Amino acid sequence: MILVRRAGAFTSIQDLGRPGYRRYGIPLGGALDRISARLANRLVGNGAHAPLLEMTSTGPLLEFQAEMLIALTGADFQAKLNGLPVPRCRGLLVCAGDLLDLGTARKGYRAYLAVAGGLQAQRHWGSCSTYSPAKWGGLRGEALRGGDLLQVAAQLPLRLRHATQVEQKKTKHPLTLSCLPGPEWDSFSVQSRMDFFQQIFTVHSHSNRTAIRFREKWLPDKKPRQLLSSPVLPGTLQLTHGGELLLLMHDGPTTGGYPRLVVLTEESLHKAAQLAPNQKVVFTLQKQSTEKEWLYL
Amino acid sequence: MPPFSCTPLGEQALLMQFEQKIDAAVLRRIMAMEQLIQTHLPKGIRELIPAYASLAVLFEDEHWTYRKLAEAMLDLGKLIPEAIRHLPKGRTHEIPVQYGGRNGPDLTTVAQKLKLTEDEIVERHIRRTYLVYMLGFLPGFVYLGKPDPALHLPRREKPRLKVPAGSIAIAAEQTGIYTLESPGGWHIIGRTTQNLFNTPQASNKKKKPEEAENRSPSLLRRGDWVKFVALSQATT
Repeated sequence: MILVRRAGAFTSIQDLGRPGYRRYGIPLGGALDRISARLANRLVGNGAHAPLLEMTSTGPLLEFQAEMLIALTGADFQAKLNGLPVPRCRGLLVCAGDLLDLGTARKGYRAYLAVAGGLQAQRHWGSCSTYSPAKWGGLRGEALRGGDLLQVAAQLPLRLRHATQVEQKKTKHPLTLSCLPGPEWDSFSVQSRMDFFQQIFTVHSHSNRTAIRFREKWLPDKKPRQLLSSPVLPGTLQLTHGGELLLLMHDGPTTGGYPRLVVLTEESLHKAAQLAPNQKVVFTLQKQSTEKEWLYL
Repeated sequence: MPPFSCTPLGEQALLMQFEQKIDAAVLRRIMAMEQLIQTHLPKGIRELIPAYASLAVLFEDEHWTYRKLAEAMLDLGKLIPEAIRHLPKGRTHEIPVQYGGRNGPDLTTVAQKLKLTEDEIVERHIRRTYLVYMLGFLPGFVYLGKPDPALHLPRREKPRLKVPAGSIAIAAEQTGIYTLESPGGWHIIGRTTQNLFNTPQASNKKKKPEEAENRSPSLLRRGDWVKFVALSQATT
């Protein structure tokens, strides 16, 4: 068992989400930075879908009550185990009484903690991912609170593994997010489209698992029309009527009526999961997609 | 020619866009296309997300390139007229609703805006039988069309953070049901106590994916019909 002595800003149990139910309005959900989540699980010998902790911005303080194998991946939170720095991206054996203090995100925004055997959590629609709007998954369907006890779902033979740390390069300012044109992209003028790629956008602090917002507005020279509610995916960049940009993430709606400017590539979607407030970004078209012929058949 | 065009929606999805209007014939074409995809191309297709006049096909890039899938879809689309004939007839549901008062907090303002009495709004809302066009936005939100043109009005300027489960709402040429509690920007004119969205009890066990797939959480399915029945106002 693991005692949550302090919960942190937003710490929740996630796995790889609940695919297959979007036709009922049920979002995909799950870990936002799936590369880091998969890596953490692999390092402790878990399957890719094992429930683990996603920690955002400020991490929790955890007290282990038994010996277990853990791994920490994702953003660098400068975590300390019993006061000593913890290496990331490798299996670590912890003992009963050990204290893991996750600290605060220095590079990136979300870190992942996997425990050999996976965390126990309630399962809705085939997934333990916490989706707080409907109170599904996780513990009570909500983020962790101080005093919570986390149970390990299964005992696994412990095998220490490590991965070569792919150190995030010093975050570039601005970060480039690669994308494909969205279905409504062509309804904007050439001038507006060029302006969009030249503009620098700043991540707003009102960003969450539903959407990343930006401080700057983007006002095309022609007012976009309202659409019939249409499918959207994590990585879809919507333009609201007020000119606000919404980059939808995994807990976001399944359909929407705002124009879909661009859709991020899978690689850039993982990068976006690590965007912290005030980080600056620019968008760029993925090379392949500049070939018109590839786009419209 | 198939009745849709294809465009990418990111790297791993293809979007089919049909005639962009709220129309029963468009809905049937989309439902037929879903049937065709499930029957003829089950491999490498992750998920289908249907909406009013479009269908997103999420594909695995080990199996498909966008281009190959688009060709396959355009080919398959030729079979739509035939497939439509085999679509099941939708079921009709009668849903009891308490209009106005605390169950429909926007009924009074809606009546003022539309220059009708509250009774007239209710009368016009229950007169029609609505087609279930789609579920989406948030879990369990059901989009129905189309209400009497006299009931068309834009969304609320300020969306509510919490709309109670079972709320019946109108906006533009749509009426909808918030089957689960959620935020929302439509005008709430009534509420039903009937349970329309069923979340299975949380479990700690894994289920086989197929087992879960075939069960719709929503009583109302696309292609079904809904008739609202006004209940007399409960005394509060």
